[in-house]
Amino acid sequence: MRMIDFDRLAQQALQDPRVHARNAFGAPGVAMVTRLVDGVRSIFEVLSPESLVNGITVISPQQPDQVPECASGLDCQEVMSIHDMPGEFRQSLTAVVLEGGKLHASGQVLPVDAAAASDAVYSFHPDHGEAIHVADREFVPDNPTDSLSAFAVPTFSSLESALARYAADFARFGELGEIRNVWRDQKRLMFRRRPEETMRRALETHLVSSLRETRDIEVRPESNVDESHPVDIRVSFTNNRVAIIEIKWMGNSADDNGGRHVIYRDARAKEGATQLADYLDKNKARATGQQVTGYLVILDARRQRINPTVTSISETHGMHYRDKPVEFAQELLDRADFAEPVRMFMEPVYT
Amino acid sequence: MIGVADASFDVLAIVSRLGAMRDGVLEGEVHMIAYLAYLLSLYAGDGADDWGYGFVTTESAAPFSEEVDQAIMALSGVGLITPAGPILRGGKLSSDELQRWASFPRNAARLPIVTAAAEATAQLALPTMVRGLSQEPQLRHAAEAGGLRALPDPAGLLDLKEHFATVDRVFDGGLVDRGSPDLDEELIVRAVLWLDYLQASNAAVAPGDGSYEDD
Repeated sequence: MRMIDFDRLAQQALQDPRVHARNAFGAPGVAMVTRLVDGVRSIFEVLSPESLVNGITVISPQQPDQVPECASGLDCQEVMSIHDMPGEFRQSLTAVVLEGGKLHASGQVLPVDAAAASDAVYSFHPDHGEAIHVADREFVPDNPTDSLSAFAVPTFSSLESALARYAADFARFGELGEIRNVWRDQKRLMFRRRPEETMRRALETHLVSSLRETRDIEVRPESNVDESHPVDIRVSFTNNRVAIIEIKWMGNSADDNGGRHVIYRDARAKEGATQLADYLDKNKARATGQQVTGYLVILDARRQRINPTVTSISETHGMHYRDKPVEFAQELLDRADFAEPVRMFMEPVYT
Repeated sequence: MIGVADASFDVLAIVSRLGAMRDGVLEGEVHMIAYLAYLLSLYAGDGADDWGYGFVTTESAAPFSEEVDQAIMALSGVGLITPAGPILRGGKLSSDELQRWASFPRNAARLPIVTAAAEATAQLALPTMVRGLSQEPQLRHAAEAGGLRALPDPAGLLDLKEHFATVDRVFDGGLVDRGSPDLDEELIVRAVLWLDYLQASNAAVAPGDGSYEDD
């Protein structure tokens, strides 16, 4: 039986604003912080953190039926729900979360220290990050995602949607989150040497935070020829479905000196498809009623006229492969357990 | 019939609370949250057979309740919850009806517990809650043993009590008072801590620095 490690749990409790609020204010403190988190999540359902270029402050007063004094100096409007938020409040916002989901909102950003010490406050600014402030302490939420806020992560009920979102928001420009660490240069011309581990972890981060109905997500451990984990990511869903994801990259990689230059093109992706199909075949007998589907994810950074000495690229050469998919064998694509390969073209900075 | 009535109240409460979120709530998640509410009732001191309906584990060790399933169908049929594809949503009608049902003594007693389960889920975000709950002792036992199993699992129940006792130690040994007017807040703060711990303890082990494999 997996026991709880008390010391780890106690350490985690020290980082939980709800626990701290309970210790400081009792049950009303817990209610205050939960209202705050609810309010922040609902605001981020409508306003993206990226749009709040001047920041946001959200206040949850201990007395949820009263507008706190700090807000009295602001030009506020009463808003019955977040969906009624005026358009002009989309770049900077102070919102007081009241009973019944009502908001008292202003287009000015109230400094955190203007709020009462007895209230809970959330602050976010794209340059400074986010924090929850309660009872004289500041809590920075753990945010392993690639979103600017831990409270603004969309969720997906299908792996296909999650992968499509990853392709559009992260892989395409390759500069948000962990995926930005795959590049050898700032213009995203080539990968650094051996980018595979970073690619696995970046995609895992995205899936862990956004994919719903998952019981477990396993990433292949770093080892040589690990027969027990031949695919990169394995997702176990709560409805007995399993998705196994093989990640391949196409493009060029080299070390900082231009040495160990590796070039991968279509053959690499096709090899990945064959590997995946082989794995599906070998593991059919062990599937024990699980519905296993294989996904080939291809991170495509192919460029024309590229080598380690190139320092800039034209649009023509940089984007040449954007609309050039890989052709896979039809018998693979016809397999019921083989999902359509997902190619994510990663754009360079071109001149 | 009491079981389906209890499940109907729980489903209505869960969907009313979470169905308004952008991403709504999926049927499987409703089963998970109802199961979490059941676990919180045990934490609050109720007996294992007091909840009104039971659960089994599916082949993938997820909790499932026949009564919850019937409740979802019945509530959808009368328009109190609205399926939108795989997503279940509530609305003003479901909120109003929930308030009315909550006035009955049996439902009033379970409301703070179901509220705590739904609110803990809202605090954590659904993927975190689901992955955390999948690691609770009874579901872990089921996953390891395999096959369909009725819940509660006696061995898992003992382990669960150990978990709860450890969580109580974080709060200086303070036990949850079933009759307290602050029951939902006390359960929320414990449930969030416990589930967040469980999902973090099961996080994938990140590969260490070292030599890269030849691909």
